[in-house]
Amino acid sequence: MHRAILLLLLAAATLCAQMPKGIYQWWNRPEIRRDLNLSPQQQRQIQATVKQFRPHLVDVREAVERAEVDLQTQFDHDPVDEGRANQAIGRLIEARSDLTRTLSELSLKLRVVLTEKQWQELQRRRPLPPPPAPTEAVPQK
Amino acid sequence: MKHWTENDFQNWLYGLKDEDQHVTECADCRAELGRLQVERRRLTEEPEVSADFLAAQRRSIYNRLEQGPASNWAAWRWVLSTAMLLAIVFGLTIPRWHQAAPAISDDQLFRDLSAMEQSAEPKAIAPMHDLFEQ
Repeated sequence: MHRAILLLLLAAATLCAQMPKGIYQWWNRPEIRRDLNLSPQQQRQIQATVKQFRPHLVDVREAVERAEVDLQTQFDHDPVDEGRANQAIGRLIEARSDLTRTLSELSLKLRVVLTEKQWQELQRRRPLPPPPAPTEAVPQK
Repeated sequence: MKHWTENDFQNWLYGLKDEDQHVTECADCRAELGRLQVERRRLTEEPEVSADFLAAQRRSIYNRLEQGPASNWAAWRWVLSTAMLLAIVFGLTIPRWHQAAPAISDDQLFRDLSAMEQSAEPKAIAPMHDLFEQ
């Protein structure tokens, strides 16, 4: 019983310590800045990089949102115009691709600022991938 | 009697003063009146315009009327100037409007981007996927 409670507490603590999935502003979190031991110059470089990317990030976000709305409009239209719907799908794929590219480029720029040790520390804070789901055994004939 | 002053001559010239006994008797003042009369006539009379000059002007006007588009050049010049002015005004004001739009906070921006990054499927097709998950 005590063991189970201890395990539950440990799991809860681990979950609390985990950072959110996806990109987040780790550079603005005091505990991460402290743990990574970011120098003032590194902090300036990171802020400058984020500032440089910000306008494009805003554009990308708007493009994805607009493409989502366009596609929803096509799905709601009666009768559905398949040609237009396919065009909306294409635009959404393009916008999402731009989102992935921009976020990856931003991450790369930030990674270059960090040392190997800082990078490892940052990775350590990432949530672990979920364990693979158990596959059902296929009944043998 | 005293000679007419400059002011007296000006008043006489504009009809505000009549000739008096002095001016009829004084040769100097009489001569000055004569000179002023001649000068006024020279300035007020219409310039002579030769018939050739008027004919040339008429020809020029007719040519412009026949050419048509050339006669509209002045109007086009105004249209172009106004269009350029409007373009400059819009060019200066639109970026200000854009800046004036409420900016999204960094926190919200990265939250949205993270959510978009993680959602693999478009929102429009979510109802279809929900059917398979049930």
